[in-house]
Amino acid sequence: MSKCQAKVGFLLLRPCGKTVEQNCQFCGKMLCAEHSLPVAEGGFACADCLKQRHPQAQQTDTRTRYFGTSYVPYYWNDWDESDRSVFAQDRDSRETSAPSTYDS
Amino acid sequence: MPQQPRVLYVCYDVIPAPKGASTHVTSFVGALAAAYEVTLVSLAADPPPPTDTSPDTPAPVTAGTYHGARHLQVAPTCPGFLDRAVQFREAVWDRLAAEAFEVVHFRTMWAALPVAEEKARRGFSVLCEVNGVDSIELKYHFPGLRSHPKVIDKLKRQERLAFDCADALITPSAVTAKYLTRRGVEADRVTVIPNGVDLTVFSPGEPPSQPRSGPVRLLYIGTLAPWQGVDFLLEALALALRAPDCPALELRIVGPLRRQWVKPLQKLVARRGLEGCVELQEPVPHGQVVGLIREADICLAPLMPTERNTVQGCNPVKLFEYMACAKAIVATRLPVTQEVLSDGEEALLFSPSKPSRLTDCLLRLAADEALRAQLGAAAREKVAKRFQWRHANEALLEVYRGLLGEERRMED
Repeated sequence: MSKCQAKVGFLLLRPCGKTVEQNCQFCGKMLCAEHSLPVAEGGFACADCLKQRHPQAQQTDTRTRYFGTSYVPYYWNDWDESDRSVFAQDRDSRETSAPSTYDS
Repeated sequence: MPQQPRVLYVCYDVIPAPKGASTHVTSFVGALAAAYEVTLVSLAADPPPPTDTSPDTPAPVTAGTYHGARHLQVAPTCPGFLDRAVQFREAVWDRLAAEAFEVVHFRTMWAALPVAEEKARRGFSVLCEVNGVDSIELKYHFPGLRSHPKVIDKLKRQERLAFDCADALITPSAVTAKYLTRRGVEADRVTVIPNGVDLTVFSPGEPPSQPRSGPVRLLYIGTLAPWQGVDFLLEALALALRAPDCPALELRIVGPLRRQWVKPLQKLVARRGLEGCVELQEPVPHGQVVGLIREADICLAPLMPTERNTVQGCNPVKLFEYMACAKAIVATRLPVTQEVLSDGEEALLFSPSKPSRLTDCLLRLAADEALRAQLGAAAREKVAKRFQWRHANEALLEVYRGLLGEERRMED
């Protein structure tokens, strides 16, 4: 089953992953019902395409407004290959069970 | 009847398991489930062998019940620690997206990102339980981390997110509470709830019908991680056995014999000629720990003055279990042990400057059965007054009442 490709989240953008209802009529991105935004001329589009065509559109402002007000943004970039290699250097990480942390 | 508040309790631990962390979680889950509708998310006990999967692949989740809570056991399938932790994080995220909760309580920093993000979306209360932090503890599991400050910085950012998104924080140690304030957490958001013991399980047992003969039995229970000081203990034991007036001693070490940590200890045992008096044993189920303690004459907690013990802090469950069994304890003189034990009253505390300090305590206690009995009785009395799980559970429920805006019930 195809998954919605719209990005969600404000700390870490990730694919929405819900069941696809339709495609964006401009870029073809697969979208769930929540992320299919109606276009005034008819049809549906993703938030990014709608924003490009209608810069005043409210829904695509949410993330910007959230960061722009009282919320202090965290610079969050997720783990990458170089991080992975650090944890792979030690024998520990190759054991079947990951160590439970915070030993008592 | 109004619906009970729904609680999600997340831990990156195997529950149940023969570890203090599991004992702690089990006690909290039981107390919470009596008052709320609780979902516990933990690691699965027997995960399948790792496969070459991406952390985006959903980890299998098995549903069951545990001490009155719904228990979801997540079994990460990726081969490496980092990907497994991310896979676990994604499972937490899926749960938060799928269900509504009034309180999300987590004791793993790997839950910080989904909890922070979903809190902003859904507005539940957040309780962060800090028993340790990855930026300190993982350096012992993965020594290579010490030369990668950027990765440690990422772990710290993850921790900062956890602290900042929490409405309240709890920790079992005053040392950890101080650490949190140094990390910028306001002191009034932090509640210290020491670990405890169940006195109905841990008790001295029946006294032996006749005086026991044979060696004086020493017991260490816990992991063999470097911060636990088991190598220091072996050095001290070797010195004690060389003392002219030393009675026969035998040391039983009970804990997960992880290859990474057990090999150096086995070599040390051989080098010091301790093969005949040291027994290394895999952990037993928690219900059998009391039997091990009762068989011992002296119980040990030789924690080392490492960053983990002196900066981050800890509150070893084993101390309370030793105390409840009225055993004489020898432990390192550190702020974390002095939160629980007073030197000469409930235990003998030694300076970790050199193994001979521990040797002196061992020789003194081995030769003085009356002193062992005196320290043990005082320890039992103290633990009964201050460190039972019911004390910790009540303090936890008080924090929950604050989070949920509940009044304390009259019958309490």
